[in-house]
Amino acid sequence: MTTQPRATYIETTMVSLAGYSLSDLRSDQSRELADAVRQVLGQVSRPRANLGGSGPPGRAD
Amino acid sequence: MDTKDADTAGPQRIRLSDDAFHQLAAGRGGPEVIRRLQEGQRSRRLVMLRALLEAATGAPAAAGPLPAVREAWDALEAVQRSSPGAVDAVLAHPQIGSWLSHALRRHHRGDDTGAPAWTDFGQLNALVLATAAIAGLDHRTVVPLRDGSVLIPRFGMAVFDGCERWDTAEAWVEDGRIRLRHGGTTVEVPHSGDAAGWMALRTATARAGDLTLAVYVDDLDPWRDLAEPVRPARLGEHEFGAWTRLLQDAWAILVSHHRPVAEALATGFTSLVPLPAGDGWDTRSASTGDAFGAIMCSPPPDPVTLAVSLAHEWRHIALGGLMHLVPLTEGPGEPCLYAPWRDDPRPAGGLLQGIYAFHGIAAFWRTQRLAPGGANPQLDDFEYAYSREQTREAIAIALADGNLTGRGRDFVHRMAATMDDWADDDLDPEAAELARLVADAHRAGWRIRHRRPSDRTVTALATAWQDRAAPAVAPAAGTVLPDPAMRHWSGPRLGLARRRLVAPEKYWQARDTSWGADLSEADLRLFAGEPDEAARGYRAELAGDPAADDAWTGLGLALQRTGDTRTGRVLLEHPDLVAALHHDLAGAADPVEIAGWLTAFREK
Repeated sequence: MTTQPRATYIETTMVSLAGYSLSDLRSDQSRELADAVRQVLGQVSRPRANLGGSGPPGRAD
Repeated sequence: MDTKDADTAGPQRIRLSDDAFHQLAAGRGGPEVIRRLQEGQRSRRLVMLRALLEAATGAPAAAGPLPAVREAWDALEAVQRSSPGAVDAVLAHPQIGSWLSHALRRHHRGDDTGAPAWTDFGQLNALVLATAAIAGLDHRTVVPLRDGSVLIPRFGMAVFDGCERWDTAEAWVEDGRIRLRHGGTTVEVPHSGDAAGWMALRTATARAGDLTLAVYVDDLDPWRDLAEPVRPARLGEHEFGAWTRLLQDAWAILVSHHRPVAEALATGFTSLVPLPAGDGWDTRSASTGDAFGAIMCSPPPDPVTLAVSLAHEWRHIALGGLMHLVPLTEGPGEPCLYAPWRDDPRPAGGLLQGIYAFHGIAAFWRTQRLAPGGANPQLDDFEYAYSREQTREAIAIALADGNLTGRGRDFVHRMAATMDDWADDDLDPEAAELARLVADAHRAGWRIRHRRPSDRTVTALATAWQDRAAPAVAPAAGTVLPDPAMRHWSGPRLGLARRRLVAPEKYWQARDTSWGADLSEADLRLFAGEPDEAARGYRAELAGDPAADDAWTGLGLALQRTGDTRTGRVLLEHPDLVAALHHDLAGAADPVEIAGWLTAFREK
């Protein structure tokens, strides 16, 4: 019998709202969701733009 | 449904399989992995919606003349109960992320300049309208107008004349048709195509083999750009047709020769945002972490350029999606790192994005150069060699200084491992040498412009020189200064290398072009394989202008290739120091003699 290795996972920093309805989302007062809001607000305060080009380098990332 | 209060366990964290992470690190990541990233984006957008609701709750200005945000939310809940897929479809639209990000950022910065807050928050009403239309539900609301226009996500833009700068329009869905009204004018949205007062969001479909790419061609959305909202830039039918043909041809190339990239794009690339054409042959492309799935691109000269641009930007999108889930760098970092594709110093986060993108570019050219029927195999070899070198060098910098987290280091190591056998690839010798030359020139050019040697070191060396003693202080890397002006200086030499391969008959006229006007005669000699003449030319330039950065680095490049490799190496590794020392000696010393003198310390 061949056994498959167990899959391993990374627990990410983002909450999963799979299965959450908008009603759930509005009424949720959990710390986890509050932390997620703070995390995302931190991200949007430092927007990341990637610039590329086939011409000379200088602005591309 | 029970209320989830602070004492109730909230949502769990997203779990990403190690296998998915490893695939992404290796530059793979097929449809299943992309769907995991898309699920992450869905959760993220929902969190942003919640943040928008919270922001509106405490801000009366968020509504202005429009219905309160909570009313829009009520309506959205109703649509979701009837048709969850309709809400998900609109929420997944790339520019929804850009809008949410922009609205939240403005609100939390307290930015009350420009557009009033209700034009940001009120776009939620347009979102709800779109979801209702997709769900086939009747709905009525009021939407904000910016310069007389409003974007209905996934549908298009209504435009009214005679509006205030910031105005409103009634909007409703009835019997499956969207209508909007301002004053005495009603816009009826057709099932397809444009109409009076209406510009449809067009789509383009490309097919090759068994893979299909379907994207919006978005020339309308105010949030399709990188920063502030922009006006629509409607493509004429001719321009739209040109884009669809280029996309079809680029897609054929990707499916034929870059299948894994094509499969990822087919799943995740959903919006093409045309940018205005740049100067000359420069194709510009861009993407943003907030608009997962959207790629901005100016008209490329050929399908191969579009294909590599899509491959490049896709890497940015995928990494952005991953970094929303897993931190790979610790903080943004100071802009002090050398990125081979940038003329300015970069912070750690920017470096990692660039590495991943250029790894994708190098992988593209590694395969593309072997595709039959290439217009210029030598140029393809150059592009591969250059991007490979850039990537490899940047990986080493990131591992040494890149503020990487443990996961970040793992990511970079796995990416690097995919390149282990790339060094064995056979390349056209001239192309490989030109790639080395451009890479060396860029590195040295960056050092002389952005590093400052310590005054103590320069003074000590100047004293030793004047005393005719050996250098007693080691040439050390100077301090890197940020470059907020983002000066752009490296284009001419890269252009010269490409011209040598693309149009050798026009090589000696490179200085007559707009991009080559800053080249010197010595540059042309150097890139033509005449290092002795080039060295003489650079020495003469320095005699007339000791501050000519490119003359210093050019001299180092030339000397390396004349056989005086030690002196050349000093000039390339420490051009800032040699130039500063020369300046400190009031230009009385010969640049080559100074650099040669410094080799004595390096040889100790």
